[in-house]
Amino acid sequence: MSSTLSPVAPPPLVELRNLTVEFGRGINRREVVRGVSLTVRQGECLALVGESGSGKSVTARTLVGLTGSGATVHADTQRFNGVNALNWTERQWSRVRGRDAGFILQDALSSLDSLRTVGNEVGEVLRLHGDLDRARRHARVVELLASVGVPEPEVRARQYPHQLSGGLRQRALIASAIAADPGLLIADEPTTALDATIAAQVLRLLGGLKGTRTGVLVVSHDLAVVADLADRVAVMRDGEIVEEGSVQAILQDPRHPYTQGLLAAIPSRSSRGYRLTDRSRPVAPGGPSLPRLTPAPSPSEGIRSPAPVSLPAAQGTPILAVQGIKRSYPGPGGGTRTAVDDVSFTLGTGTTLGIVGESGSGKTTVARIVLGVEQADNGSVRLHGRTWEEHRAARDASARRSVQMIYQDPLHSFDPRRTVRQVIGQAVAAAGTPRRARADRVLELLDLVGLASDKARSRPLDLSGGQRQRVAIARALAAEPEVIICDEPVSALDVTVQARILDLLTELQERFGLSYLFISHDLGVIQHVSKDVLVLRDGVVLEHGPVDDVFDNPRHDYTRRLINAIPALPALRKDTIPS
Amino acid sequence: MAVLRRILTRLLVGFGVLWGAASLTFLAVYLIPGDTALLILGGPDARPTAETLAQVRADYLLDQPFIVQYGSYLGNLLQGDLGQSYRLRLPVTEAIGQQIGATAALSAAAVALALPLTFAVAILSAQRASWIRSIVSGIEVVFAATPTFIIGFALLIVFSFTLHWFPIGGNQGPVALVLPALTLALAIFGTLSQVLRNELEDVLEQPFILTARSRGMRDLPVRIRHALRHAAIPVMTMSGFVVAALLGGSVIVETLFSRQGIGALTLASVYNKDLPVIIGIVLLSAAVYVVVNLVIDLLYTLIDPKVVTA
Repeated sequence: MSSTLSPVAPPPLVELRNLTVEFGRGINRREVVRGVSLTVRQGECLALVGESGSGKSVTARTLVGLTGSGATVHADTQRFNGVNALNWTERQWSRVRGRDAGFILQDALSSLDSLRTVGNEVGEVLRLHGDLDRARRHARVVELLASVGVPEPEVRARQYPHQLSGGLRQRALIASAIAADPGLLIADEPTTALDATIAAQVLRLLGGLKGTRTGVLVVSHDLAVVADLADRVAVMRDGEIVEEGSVQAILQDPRHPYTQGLLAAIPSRSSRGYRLTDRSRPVAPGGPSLPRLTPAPSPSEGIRSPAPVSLPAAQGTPILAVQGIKRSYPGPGGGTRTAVDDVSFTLGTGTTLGIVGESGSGKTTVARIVLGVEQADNGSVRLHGRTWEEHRAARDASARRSVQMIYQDPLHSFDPRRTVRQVIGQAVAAAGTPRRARADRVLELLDLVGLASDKARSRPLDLSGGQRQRVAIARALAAEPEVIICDEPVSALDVTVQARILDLLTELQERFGLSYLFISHDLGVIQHVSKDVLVLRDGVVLEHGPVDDVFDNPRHDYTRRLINAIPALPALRKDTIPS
Repeated sequence: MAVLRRILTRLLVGFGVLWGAASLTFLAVYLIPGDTALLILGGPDARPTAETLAQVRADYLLDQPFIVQYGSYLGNLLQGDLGQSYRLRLPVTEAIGQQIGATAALSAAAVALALPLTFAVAILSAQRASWIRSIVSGIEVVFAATPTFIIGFALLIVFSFTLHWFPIGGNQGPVALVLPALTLALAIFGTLSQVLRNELEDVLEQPFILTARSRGMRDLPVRIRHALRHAAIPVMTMSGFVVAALLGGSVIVETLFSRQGIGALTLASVYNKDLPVIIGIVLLSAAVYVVVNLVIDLLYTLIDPKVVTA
């Protein structure tokens, strides 16, 4: 732009004063962003951190004029490279987008056009903003893909997004954003959908792009993710920036209570044994007894075998023993792919075993075998010393119920047309609760998971992510389980909501002596909840032992890489924990 | 390789469909009350003698058990022999062959009008202000819901009777084709455009559209280069509806505009219980379905790189 000629310091890449964004009209009018001001200069990285619905993404999109249809945008100042961008037309914006500002969205699978090749997608920016011919464009695309660390760029350029792994897709998306060498890069949750080690690589890549002339705005829900990357952090909540400052200032000396709560809610090794929402309250060791929530239904019909061994068990007595399970599937090209190979572990009553692994490590297959919905080719799963076949032979349905599962996204496991009452009621009925006691039981379960009784009438779609996960937990509790398999139960949640759900799980463990098999890719969560940990890779157990031993003395190179990929919060751990 | 296997599978399935259609029509004709021999000889008015009737029964195997009749029918079909039209005293293939050109021209013209209209309207109206969408959608509903013969009448009244721009009927030249083709096209457009716009609106909400815009692509190119291919896939699935609209519509339109063609032939054959011709037309329709579905299926593989499995 013309102002680059000025001899003094160049103008900021973007400058925003008092931005307000509204969606809808009349009674549907919602104010999503309120009075936000921000500046991104050359060579610096600003992180916009906030939870879902905080308005951070809308703010980022407004910077390039892509607020969305139905939005009303007001600002006192909006400058782009020093040029007034208030009231720019779509035509003016389209000249700037891609050329002066590159945009990286999360989840590259849906952010790349699935019907076009990766090369076409990356080259589109060059086609729109450059005068390169087809052949030179292609050469440049290959160059760009290579520069963001995509191996075999020639081959990849001809492939479609679904043929690339998540990490490569994200790199391709970054290549498309930097193709025209823009001064400003906006990255909206660039690593959210990625495995930890891949996310760390992508963050390093983004950090390398922050050059002397290039500024980066990164939007994230995760303070830890941006800590390494950002120079300054702005914390957003309900459409407002509540606190802004250097990374050090925000992480070590947060002023605003919201920021303090946000930091305290991050689970880690040091938070183990405490509640995330209130670190002054330690967690009692898992209860030794198993109080039934309601009297067990009397077996009035048929001949039933003796009740399962649910006598009060001492904490730590193995409730579940998995011995050498193995499972292979027919792989592509006629071979077999071994998803789980010789996995053994025991789960003690009232304890939590964490299972760590990236996508494809076989952790979900292990969960399905333990749950008994999938058969192992070899090995055994014993609950109270009996395999699933023996339980079945003994016609013992209560064993079936004593292992329950909760998922990452409970929405997919709920019938969207049913109310919460019906969802939980079905599980209550399946648990054998007499008909007249069911309604009370549903309310009791809702209360247990901290949901108000009027939520019984809601439908899953009307609930927030945290509330849905509470319903899923209530549904699992309906069967009065002894073991709950938690498959990434908090991965889709904001950090403060995650903290509340983790606290709820802890509390339930305290009260009912539940045992958890806790699957997660988030090592912080694992260190917070687990007593023991199992590291899985390609179906093989790499590490198994008490969680601190494994993290302090990793025997395997892969574990070390995983640990190094944990986003570091410098000097945070000691400072924020109340003594 | 996968594509070849896909084609082969589809061809096999298509053959099965044709066989099923042939068998069902044969069964229907077999079960229809009435003396086929009498029909062949020109109906009850012809007053044939008992000997001639017996002669015809023997010639046409009508005195044989069902399975023999069915076998000889299939055997003839395989040799491309659809029999003789009772009414026209012509081989059925010839009777259909004489008419098929006119109907093919009508259908092609209708599709050539309907598709550009559909795509233009849907692309321009998707995700626009709600009053624009209400008006466009209202017009589409009217065309989708109004019976074809009423649309045809309305066009006739306006453009032929009042404005005298087009002839009121006949097969003479491309000018006579305009109104009949437009009648068929509007009926197709009404439904297809609504489906396409709904699909487009879903696609335009996708993150990759935002990515395309963030690269500096303008609105119309985004719609055409990115959104349209995605939205076209479900619309292609509706090709069955289009074929049905063309085949069914041609019966009405050809009658209304007194054109020659398969539609008119169908109607005349039904009036006169000219069973071999009706069977021939049913088989022709089934064949058109099979071929169109095969072509659409291959188009899927061209448009969507994820479609590879048979």
